Amino acid sequence: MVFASARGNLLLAAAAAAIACMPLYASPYHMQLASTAMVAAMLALSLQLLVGGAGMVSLAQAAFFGLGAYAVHLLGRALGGPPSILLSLPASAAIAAAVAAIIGPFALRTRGFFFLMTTLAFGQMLFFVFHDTPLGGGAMACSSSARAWASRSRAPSARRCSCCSISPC
Amino acid sequence: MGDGFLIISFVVVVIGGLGSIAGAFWAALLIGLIDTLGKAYVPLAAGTAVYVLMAAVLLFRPAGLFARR
Repeated sequence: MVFASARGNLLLAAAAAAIACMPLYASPYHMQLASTAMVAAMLALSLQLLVGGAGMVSLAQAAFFGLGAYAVHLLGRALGGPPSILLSLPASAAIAAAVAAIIGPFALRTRGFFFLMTTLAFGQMLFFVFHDTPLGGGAMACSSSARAWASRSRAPSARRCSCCSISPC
Repeated sequence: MGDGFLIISFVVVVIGGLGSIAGAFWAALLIGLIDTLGKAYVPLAAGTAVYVLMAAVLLFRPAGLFARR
């Protein structure tokens, strides 16, 4: 996002810097709150790209969002701990993109209301895949792995860890 | 807010065809049977079955099974 005025850009840069430096001055509660807010902002930005940019109202957006989260979760389960952000970030994007490459061609055959319904169908399908099968491990599996990782990372460097391994579960 | 009923009713109306009462009737029976049989015989895929059917109907008969021509 770029504002027309230089002052607006400066304010935006200052806000970004303040958020980036949060682990230096904020309490764990505020870190948690800001992390959740920024994760939600990512979902809103991705929806803005699709709805605002391409004009397609999709109900499957949250499914891709969750797919990214589950990619981090499953990667962590395979590695036995929170994965490095250098690994989890490209991996979750790649997995969500791969699934979108399968769903997209089908959904794009429809328009308007039917596009809405097709994306709803695929979104619900992904929900049930992760909710009902051992792959996702039920409704609470993801948050329990996040809790296990959090208790493991209560080392002296916990602050640095918490900001590197934010998992959007 | 009855989300579960609301979403499944949407699915029924879309499969039957928008504006078709007979379509909604038959689609409701179809969805009910598929959901229940899925839960009985393939529990892992039960939640997905209904939406797979809806995606298939939307892709091959986009206006629904009982669409008025």
